[in-house]
Amino acid sequence: VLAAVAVASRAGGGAVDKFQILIGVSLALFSLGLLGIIIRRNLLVMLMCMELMLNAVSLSLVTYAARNGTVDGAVLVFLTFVVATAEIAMAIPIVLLLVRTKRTLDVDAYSDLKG
Amino acid sequence: MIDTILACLFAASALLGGILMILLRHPMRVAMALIVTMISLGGIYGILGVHEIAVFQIMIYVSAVMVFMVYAIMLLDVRDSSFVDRFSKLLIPAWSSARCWRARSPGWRSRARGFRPARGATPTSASRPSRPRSSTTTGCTSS
Repeated sequence: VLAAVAVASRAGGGAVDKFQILIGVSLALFSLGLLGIIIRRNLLVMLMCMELMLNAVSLSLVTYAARNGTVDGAVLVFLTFVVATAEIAMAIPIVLLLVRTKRTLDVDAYSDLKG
Repeated sequence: MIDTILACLFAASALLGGILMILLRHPMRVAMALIVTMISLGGIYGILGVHEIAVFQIMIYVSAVMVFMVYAIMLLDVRDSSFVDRFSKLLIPAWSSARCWRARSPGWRSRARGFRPARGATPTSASRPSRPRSSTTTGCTSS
């Protein structure tokens, strides 16, 4: 994450191209989402970090599409929106069922398959 | 020129929201930080000229998905153990592996600046004056 933020600030400090800044921001947001999935212990916060990673990928798609002057990335982002909405609509009931069985949101309690 | 400045402002607020998502404790505040990030990304999409994506970002993400998420947060228990202790047990391995990776590949900072140090230059600390020297000694003996 520090490397991504350093790259992003470096791209923002020296250049005037806003596409480089946005690609750096996308990389930093993806790293922050991955770090949040690794180190946070709440199930809902992990879901939100997954949404953050999805948003970072959408930002990079839109940035490259706007740089090339095509609409392919925008169409892919529409598909990503649909997939993200369906994913959240499936994931929240799964989380609710898990909480109903174990009475906690802590992911460290769901280690039944550890062997 | 003005769109570059606006893009920088929106990007800064998006990064701020992402960092606050890692640091905040209560999931409702994490959801608010994620909403800030998504609205900033919608602004960036508007600056880039894809207004449909901006409108759908606000309509689908901030309206539908985050309302659903906030509903789930409000439905579940507030006095959970994961609310009190915000980081999992993987924080220590993640931190130490990040330190190991940084000690093993120390050239990313100079590569990010765009110049590479000379091959025969033995005092490598001269090319990286801002790197702390204690990173090679803490927590990583295999490198």
